[in-house]
Amino acid sequence: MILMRQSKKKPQILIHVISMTYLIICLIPFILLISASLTNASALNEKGFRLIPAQLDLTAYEYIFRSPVRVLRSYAVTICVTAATVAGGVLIMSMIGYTLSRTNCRFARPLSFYVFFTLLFSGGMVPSYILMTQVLHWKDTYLVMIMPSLVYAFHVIMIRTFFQKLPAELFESAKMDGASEFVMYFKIALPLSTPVLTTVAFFTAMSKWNDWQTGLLYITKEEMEPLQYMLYRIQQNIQSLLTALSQGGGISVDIRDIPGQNLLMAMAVVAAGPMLAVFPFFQKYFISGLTVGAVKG
Amino acid sequence: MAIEKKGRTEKKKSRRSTRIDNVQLFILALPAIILLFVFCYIPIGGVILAFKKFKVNLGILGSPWSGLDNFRFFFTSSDAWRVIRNTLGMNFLFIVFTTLCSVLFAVIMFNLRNRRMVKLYQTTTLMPSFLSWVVVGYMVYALLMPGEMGLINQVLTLFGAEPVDWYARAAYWPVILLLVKLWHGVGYNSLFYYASLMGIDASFFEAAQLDGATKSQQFSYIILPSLKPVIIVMTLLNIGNIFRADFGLFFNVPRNVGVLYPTTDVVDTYVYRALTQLGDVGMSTAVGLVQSLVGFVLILITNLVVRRIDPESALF
Amino acid sequence: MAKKQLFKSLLAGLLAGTMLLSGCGQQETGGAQEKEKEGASEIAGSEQAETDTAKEEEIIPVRWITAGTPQTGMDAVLAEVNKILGERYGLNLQLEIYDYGSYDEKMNMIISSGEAFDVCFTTQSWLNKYQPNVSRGAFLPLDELIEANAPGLKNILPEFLFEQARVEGAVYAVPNYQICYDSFGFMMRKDLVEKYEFDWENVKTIEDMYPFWDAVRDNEPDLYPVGDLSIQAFEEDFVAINMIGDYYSAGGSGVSMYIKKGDDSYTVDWFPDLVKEYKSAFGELYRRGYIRDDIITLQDDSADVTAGKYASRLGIVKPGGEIEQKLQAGGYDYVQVALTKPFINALASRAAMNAVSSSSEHPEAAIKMLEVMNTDVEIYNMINYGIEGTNYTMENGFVKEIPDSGYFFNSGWALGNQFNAYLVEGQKEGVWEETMEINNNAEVSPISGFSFNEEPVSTQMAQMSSVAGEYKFAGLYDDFEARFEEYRTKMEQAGVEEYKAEVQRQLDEWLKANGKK
Repeated sequence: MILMRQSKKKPQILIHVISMTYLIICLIPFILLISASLTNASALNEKGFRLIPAQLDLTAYEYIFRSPVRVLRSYAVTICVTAATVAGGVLIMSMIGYTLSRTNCRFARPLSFYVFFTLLFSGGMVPSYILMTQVLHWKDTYLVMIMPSLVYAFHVIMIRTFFQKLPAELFESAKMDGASEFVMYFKIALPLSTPVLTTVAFFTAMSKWNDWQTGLLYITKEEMEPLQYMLYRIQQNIQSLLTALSQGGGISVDIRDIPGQNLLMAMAVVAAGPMLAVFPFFQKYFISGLTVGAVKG
Repeated sequence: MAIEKKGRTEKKKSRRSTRIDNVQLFILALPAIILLFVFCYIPIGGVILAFKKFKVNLGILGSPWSGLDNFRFFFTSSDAWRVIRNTLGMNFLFIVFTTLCSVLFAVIMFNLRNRRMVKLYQTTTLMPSFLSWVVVGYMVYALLMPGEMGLINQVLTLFGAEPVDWYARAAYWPVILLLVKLWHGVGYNSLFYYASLMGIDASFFEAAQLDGATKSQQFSYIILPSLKPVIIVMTLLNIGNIFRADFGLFFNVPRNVGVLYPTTDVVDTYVYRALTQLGDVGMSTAVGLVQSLVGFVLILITNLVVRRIDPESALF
Repeated sequence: MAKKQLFKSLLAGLLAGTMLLSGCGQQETGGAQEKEKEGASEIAGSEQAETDTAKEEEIIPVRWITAGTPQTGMDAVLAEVNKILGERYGLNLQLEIYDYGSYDEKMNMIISSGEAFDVCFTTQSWLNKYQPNVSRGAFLPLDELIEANAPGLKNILPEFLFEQARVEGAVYAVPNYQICYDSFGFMMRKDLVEKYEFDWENVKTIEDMYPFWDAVRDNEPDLYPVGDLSIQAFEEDFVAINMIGDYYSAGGSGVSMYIKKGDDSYTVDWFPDLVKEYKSAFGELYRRGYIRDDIITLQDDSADVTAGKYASRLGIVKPGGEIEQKLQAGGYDYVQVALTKPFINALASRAAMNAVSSSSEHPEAAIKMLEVMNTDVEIYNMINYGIEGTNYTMENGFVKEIPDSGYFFNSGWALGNQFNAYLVEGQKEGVWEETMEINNNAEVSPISGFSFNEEPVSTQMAQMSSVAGEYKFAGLYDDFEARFEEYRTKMEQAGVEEYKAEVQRQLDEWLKANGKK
C-alpha cells in the first residue's frame, strides 16, 4: 500500500467514484431514518419517508428521554456488558485460536471440529433456558449476558486462520531459544495479530451491542435492561397490539398505546449512534496493524 | 554407537518436549473448550425434543416418544418444495454475491491511498449493519411504496416511466432481497477481508514492486492467495447455514405480503407462521435439527473436497 | 499412521463424551425438575395439612404473571394489596407484568422449562395461546379445585363462561367476565355526519353508507372514508360481517369454517362461493375509492386512527363505544350504528382468561387468588388502578388518574371480572350494566363451547394459512375472478376438504357428547 504511491492517479479517481456511490447508497437510508424519527407519525403514513421531515415533530425523542435515567442506565448496562465480553472473549478466543494454529498440536484437527460443530447444531432455546435458570440460576444476572457470548466458533476460526499465516520461522527460532508455547503465544502471536484481534473485538462488540435476545429471555429487572432490548420491545409492542386489534371486542387494548413509527426510528437512532461513534477508534488499529506487522515481520 | 545413542535421546527429548507443548496448548484451549461445552454442547441434548410429544408437566425426558411425527407437518407439506427452493436459492445468491462484493470492496479500500477517506467509506458502509431488520423493512418500504409515494417510483415517473407496484410482483423480489442483503452486509463482511489484507507482510509488495510485477500480478499472486483462507472459511460457514434463512430479512422486508410468498417464503418464515398457531416446541426443534443436519453434511463434503485440493485451507 | 489413529480415537472419545455428558446434563436438569416438583407437592401436601390446623398464620405466595404495561410503582401498590390480602385470605400476591411485545416469548420459555409459577394470562388466539398450552399439559384442570377452594367463582360468573373454556370436558382457565358478544357496525365522526347531513341512524346495510363515503371521498382529501379496527384484517372482517347474519363460525385458522343457522345437521363448510361474493364486494369498495390505496402493504395505521383521519370505521358496537372512540381517535365526537345483532361466538369468552400452571406449588392458593380477583372489588380495583390518593382520585364516582404516579395498570379485562372495575373518567355511566344486559340477551352460538383441535391436521393448516396469506386482499386486484379461482384450487390442494372433514368429525363427537345430536 505504501509502495503503490507511484501508481497513476486515474485508478484512484475511479475508486473514489465507486466508493462514493456506495457511500451515498448507504447514507440515504440513514438520512431517511433520522428524518423519519423527527416526523409526525401520521404524516409518515400519509406522505411516506422523506429526506427532509414533512412535518417536524420531536415527540419521539421527548418520549425516549422523558426518563433519561432509564435510557442512560441501559446505555451503561450495554456498554459494561459489551466491554467485558470483548475483553474476555478476545483473550479466550485467541488462546484457543493459537492452539489450533500450531502445527505441533496433535489434537488440532478434532479440536477444530469440536469448535466448528457448535456453529451448526444448537439444542434450541428451551434447553438453554433450563440450563441458565434452573441449573446455573443466572436469571437477572450480568453473567448470563456475558458468559455465553465469550466464545464464538466463527471468530475462533478467523483468529486461527490469521495465526496460521504468521511466518513459521518466527516460532521455530523462538523455539530454538527455548521459548515455551505460553511465551510464544504472548510474545509472538498476540503482538503480531492486532488486525485480526481488533476485527474480532469489533465484531464481538457489535453482536453484543445488538443482542436483544438475552434481555428478552433472562432479564426481568428494568434497571438491567440492555439498550437493544428496549428497542426490541417497542417493535414487538407495535406488532402485538396490532394483532390484538384484529381480535375484536374481547381484548380492549388502547390504540394510543401503540408506539408510533417515529418512536421506533428514534429508538433505532439512539441505539445505533454510540457504536458508530466508536468504530473509528477500532479502525485506527486495523490500519496500525499493518505497520506493526511490517516492522516485525 | 555413541552417535546413535545421542540421536535416540534427542528424539526422546523432542518427543517429551512435544508432549509438554501439547499440554501447554491444551491449557490455552481449555477455557474455550469448557465454555463451548457448557453453553453449546449441553443444550444440544435438547434435540431429543424433535422426537418427542412434548408435555410440559412431564418434562423433556418424561414426555412420550413420537417417532418422526414432528417432522411430518413440514416435510409432507406441499409447500415444502417451494420453501426449500427459495431458501437454498436465495442463500446461494447471498453467498456468491456477498463474497464477491465484500472482497472487491476490501481490495478497493486496500488500494486507496487517502486513509481519511478509507475511514469515511468504511464507517458509512458499516452503518446499515447496525439497523435491525424491522427498521430496514420500513426503509425499504419507504423506497418501494406503491403509487407515487415511494422514492423509487418518484424517480421512475420523473423519467416518464410507469410507477411499479413492487409489493404485487413476486418476480422482482429475489433481486430486491439480494440488494437489501448486500446493502446491509457488504460493509460489515468486507472488514474481515480488509483485516486479512492488512496482515499481509509489506515486504511482499516491496519485492513485487522491485521485480516489476503489475497490479494484476500483485492481485493474483499476493492479494488473492492471502484472502483465500478467509474466503474458504466464510464460505464453509455459509454453506453450513444454507438451509437456514435470515428470518428477519425474509419476514420484515417483504412485509409479510402474501402475494410475494412464491419467491419470498423460506423455511424459517413458513415454520414461524405455521407454529404461531400450534406453538409446538417439538416441531420447531425438528425443523431446526434438519436444518443443522443438512448444513453439517454439506460442510463435511465441502471440507473433504477442500482438503483434497488444498489441505492447508481445510477447516478440520 | 499412529498419529491418524490418535486423531480418530480422540475424535471418537470427544464425541462420545459430549453425547454422554449432554445426555447426563439433560437427565440432571430433568431429574432436578422432577425432584423439585415432588418436593413441591410434598410441601403443598404438608401445607394443606398445616392450613387445616393453623389457617390464620400461613400466608401463601402466589406468583401471577400477566401482560400489560409494566408499572414502576408496582412494589408500593403490592405492599398495600398484600396487607389486605394477607389479613383477609392468607395470600401474598407476587404480580409480574410483562409488556405485550415480550409476554408471549417469555411465557413460552417459562412454561416450556417447567419453571414454577401459579397463575398466568392466556387467550384463545392472541398471547400465550390457550389450546396449545392445554394440550402440552401446561395448565391444571380446575373443576375440582374450584369446587373445593373457590366456590365463589361459580356464584359470580355465568355458567356459559366455563362452558366455553372447556377442552375435552375440563375447564383449564377462568375467563375474565366482560363483553362477550360481537355486534359489527360503524363508528362515524359526528362533525362529518352533520356536515353532510347523513342519516346515520337508519343505516341498515353497507350500501347505506355509500352516500356518506362518497361525500367524504369527494370533499375531504385529507381523510379516509372508511377504515377498520385492524387495517390488515379489514377484508376478513368485511366477509365476517356479511356472513354473520345467516351463518355462524365453527372455528378454523387459515380459512374460517361456517355452519348455516338453523341447520340441524350441523354441516360444516367454508362456503367459497359466498366468500367470493363478499371479497368481490370488498374490492368494489376499494375501486370506489372508499378504502385507502396502500391497504395491502400498510401494517400500522394507528397514527392515522389516533389523529382521527378516518371518517368512519368498522368495528364492534358496544355501550360507551363512541366515548371510547372519542378518547382514542383524535378527540372528535363519534356516533355508532350497529349492522348486526349481538351474537356470542362459540369461544367468545376465551378472549381473555387466567389459568393455573401445572408447575404451581400451591394450586389451591392460586385458584383462591383467582376467586379473590374476580370477587373482591376492593383488591381488584387496587391492582387495576393503584392506591387511592396516590395513584388516582375519585371524582363523582369516577376514577381519575394522577399522572406520573408510577402505577395505573388500567387493564381490568386482563385481571378478572371487568364488571367489578370502577369507572374511569370519560366512561359512560352504567356501561357495565348495559353490557351485561346485552351479554345476557345476545344470541348464542348453537355450538357454544366447541373448540377445534388443529393438531391432527397441522400440515393442512400450515399449507392453508400460507395460501390464505398469498391470496389475502384478492378482491382488490383487477384479475379477481381468475385470482379467486386459483385460490380455490390451491386451497383444495392444501387440503381444505380434509381439514373440513376433521372439523366435522370433532364437531359430531362434541355434539354427541353434549347431547345435541
